[in-house]
Formats: sequence, structure tokens, C-alpha cells
Amino acid sequence: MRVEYINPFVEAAYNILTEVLGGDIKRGELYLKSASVPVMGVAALVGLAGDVEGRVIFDMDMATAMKIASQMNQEDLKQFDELAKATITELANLITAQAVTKLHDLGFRFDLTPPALFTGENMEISDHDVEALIVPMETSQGRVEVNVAIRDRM
Amino acid sequence: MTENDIKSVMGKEETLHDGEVRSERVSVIDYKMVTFALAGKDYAIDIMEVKEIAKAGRFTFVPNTSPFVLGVYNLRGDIIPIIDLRIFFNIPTKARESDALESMIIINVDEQTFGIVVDSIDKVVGISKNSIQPPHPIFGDINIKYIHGVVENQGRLYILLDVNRIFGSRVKAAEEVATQAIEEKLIPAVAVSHKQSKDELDVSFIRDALAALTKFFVTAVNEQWISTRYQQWRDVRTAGDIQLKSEDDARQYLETFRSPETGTFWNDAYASEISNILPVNQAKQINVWNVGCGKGYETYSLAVILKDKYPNSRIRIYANDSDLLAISNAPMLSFPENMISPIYKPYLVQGVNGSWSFNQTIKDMILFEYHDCTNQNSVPNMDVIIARDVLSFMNPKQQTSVISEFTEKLKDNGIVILGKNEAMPQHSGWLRTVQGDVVAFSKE
Repeated sequence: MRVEYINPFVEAAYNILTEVLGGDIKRGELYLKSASVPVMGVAALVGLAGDVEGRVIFDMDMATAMKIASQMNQEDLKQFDELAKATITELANLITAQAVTKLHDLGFRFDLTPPALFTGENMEISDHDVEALIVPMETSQGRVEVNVAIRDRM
Repeated sequence: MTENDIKSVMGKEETLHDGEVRSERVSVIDYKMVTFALAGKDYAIDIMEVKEIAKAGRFTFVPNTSPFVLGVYNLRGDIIPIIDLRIFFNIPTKARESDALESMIIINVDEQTFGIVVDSIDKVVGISKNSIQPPHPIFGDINIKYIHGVVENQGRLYILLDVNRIFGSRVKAAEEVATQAIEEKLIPAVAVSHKQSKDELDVSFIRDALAALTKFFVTAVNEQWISTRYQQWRDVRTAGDIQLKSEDDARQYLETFRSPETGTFWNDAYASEISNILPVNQAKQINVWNVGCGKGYETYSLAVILKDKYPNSRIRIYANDSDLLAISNAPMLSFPENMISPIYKPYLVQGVNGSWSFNQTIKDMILFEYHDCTNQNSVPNMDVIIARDVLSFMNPKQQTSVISEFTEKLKDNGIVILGKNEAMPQHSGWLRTVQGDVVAFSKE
């Protein structure tokens, strides 16, 4: 993945998570993963198009998703209902949008697709021919992995 | 309960189970060994091989024996040979005082009695036979074939020596020493082949150590260099010091492996060698793949060379590295004036703080990507592939897959440039062209 793309995503994830969750956010070591991505339980996917093609996945387990949704709504949610789903979708939107804004300032043109939310056990997302950058974020609600796979259009 | 909880519970159960197994192991003591020290390290010998231990000195010197034979000793009427294990294993020994008493272990091997001299004798340790673990090739000091295994007991690691091997071979070795002089004159070929097989063994240990210590893997790509390097290495190191015992040793061994001008702007001589080896190419679009670009210095040098060589073509360099820290500054690389030679000058601009960087034309040629080329590569077909000192640091399987990736991505008139000491495997469809320090490979 193009080096210039990395920082905007890391910064956006850090900024937004700090803003909406408060508390201590730690960034883990970045690494590369080849295409097949197992999903922890809840995944929000945002597609990218324009100068580049690819997608960003926000991956977390159900407990983390519940805690994050509860924190963002300032109430204790009991089940993963419409409100909780909308909240996680919105979080994905916030982070991707901020990253794309930063990239726009650097001169890269991106368009976003509306986020899609996946939930379930033992899911795996495979996309062909793109390796993914993993940005692990440790929040006080649990671990969120930002999984970015973008390549330049050829 | 979430999946993670379940996992952690399962983990605990496993460790509990392990604990039980271990306590069972400790409770069955079916193997005793005498432990002793050589140069500060702990060693052991099976107690069944040991006849007794004693302190003695003033051994009677026997002329014309191997250096590790200290002499003979009268043990209550039996004359037994005395061997210094430290000299035998090439472990440095302290100068001994002439009348000092030495710690001796008297052992029985094949009905023969020997005395062996060690630094100090510790105690008898009882262990369970199945806690003996096989030796690992990077143990160093002592040739692996003499080690029966390794045992851990109360926080100490004992290297368990195989006495039968040592003294079984010693009998032969002594004979060999006696006849060696004649052999060398009469049948040098035999001596050479014997030496060669020892060298082969040493090289194979070095291979293992390099793979374990520095992730440097020896394959057809760098085999030739390894054996040449071994000859030099053997000449500069003493006999007992040939094996690589630490990362430092391994780094020293690899010192001459690196290609010239690594991690810096290429100097004029190297740049012109690269430029000369590039094929004539009239194509409008030229694609170059720079695998393992590191901090980017080499990639920028390459960009300037290509720009000069193919002024009418559109050049695209795909520069990859899997080291995020190294590559993250590459797109914005700036440097002081004293780093650069005049050939790069026309393509530089000076920033506000006085440091220099490359102009937009050069920068637009290069796409720096954080990418591991052992994953899927989505690059177009290439005219030039440069991967200096990259293949050698991948395991053999990855090497094979990356080489086949190169074959697939390289255009028929393209070239591959590997490190100075690397080569495409022979008879695999590659032609080599040499230009000074640079070797290029093209498809047959």
C-alpha cells in the first residue's frame, strides 16, 4: 500500500476513537496481512473508489461493539439492536471520512461508499489480490482493528 | 461467555494439565548423571559410565601423543591414560601449575579406563530419562556429535556428553593422528576428502545458525557465496571458533555479503555500471520494480539513472519494502548537500531549511509502497526488477515463490538485478550478464 495512505488512516482512527470514547487509546504495531481476513464478530466495511480502489474494514468482537455503542449513546445498551448497529456504522463513517479528508488535502481523490455492517460468528472476508494494512487500536472498551486495503488503479 | 473467555479458560486447563505431566516426570528418576564444569558451563556424563572421581596431578608425560592426552596415571596399580577435555573440545584452558591437583572423572568405555580432567566436579543429579532433549546445532563450543542431549534441572542447563562417541572416536582419532603424517604424503586425496567432509559439516552448521540468528537462508541463490565466504572465515578464525555462536558472529559472517552502496545514494562508478547494464529500450512506458527499497536512497539513485538512460520514456518505479519505519519517510526524503554527487544535481531542489530533496519529476516517477512481496503482488509487467539482498532473507519457500513471481512479471526483454553475491539458480532459464559489481539476469 502506498506509504502516503498509511498515516491519514492511523491518525483518523486515533483521533475519532479518542474523541467519541474518551479514555486511553493505544495504537498497536502496524502490520501487513495477505488477503484473507477473519472477522472477530462485528465488521463495518466502507468501500473506496476514485484514483484508488479498495476498502476499509473496522473489525471488533461483539462485546467491544456493545460497549462502544453504549458509550457513544451515553446509555447502557442491552442488545445489538438498530441503534447499536447505526452507531457502529457511524463510527466507521466518521473515521473513514476524516482519513479521506486528510488524503484529499494531500491531493488524492477518493469517493466513499456507505458503510455496510456484517455481524456473525466465524466470518471471513476474502478479497483477491490486495494485501491489507492492519492498524490495531486498544481502547478501554476493547480491541478495534482497522483493516485497510487500497491499491492504485492501474 | 465470549470466545476469548473460553480460550483463556482452555488455556488454563492446558497449563494445569502440563503441570501434572511435569510433576509426574520429576517423580520418576531413572537416570543419574555426574555434573561438572568446563570453562564456566555445566556438563554431565551418565553415571553408569563413571567408575569413580579422584583428584590427582603430576601425570607421567607420554611423548608423541595428541595434545589432549596429558599423560598416564597410576590408579592403584592400573595405568590409565589421562585426557584433558578442555583441550579436546578446544575450550580455552588456564595455564596449569606444575604440581596442582586436577579434578578427574574416571570412566569406563568399552572395557577401557580413562581419566578425564575437568575444571571442577559438581554433584550427582537424578533426572527422568524423558526430560533429556536433543541438542541444537547452534550450541557452539562442542561439536554436536559429542552431545547426547540437554537437561534442565533446578534452573540449570546441563549439556549431556556422549562418552562412547567421544572416546570411541578418540581411539580412532589417536590412530589417525599417528598415521596422518604418512597419509598426507602418500594419499593426499584421502586427507583432502576427509577435510572436505568436515568443512561441509561446518558449513551446514553455519547455514542453520544463519537461518536461526539472522533469518538469512542459504539456497541456490547464494550458495556460491557461502562456500567462498567459509574459506575466508576459516582462515581468520581459530579452529575452535568457526561456528557462529551469537548474532554478532552471524553479522560478522555476513559482513561481506551486502551489495556495494547499500542504503545510500549510489556513487558515480556504481551508477554507471547499473546504467551500462540496462538494455536498450525504446518503449514509451518503462516499468521498474524495486523490491526492498528501504529508506529510498537507492530508489532515487535508480530513478535518476533511468531518467538519463531513457529520456523519452515514461518511467514508473514501484518501490516496495515491508519495513514500515524505513519506508515511511521515503516519499519526503531530504538530505544534506554533502551526501550527493554531481550526477544527481540537475534533479534536486533546495528546501527552505537548506536541505535538498528530489524534484517533482523524479518523485512522480516513484511509487513507494508498504508491501510484503511474499503476499500477492499487483504490479504490472516489468522491464527491470531490482531486488538487491532481498531473496536471501526469505525462507526457501518464499524465495521460490518470489522468483517465479519475477519470472511471471518480467517482460521478455527485461532484466533482473539481484545483490552482488546473489544469483538466479543455475539451469533455471536465466542468462547472466556481468558488468563490474553488477550482475543482471535475463530470460533465455
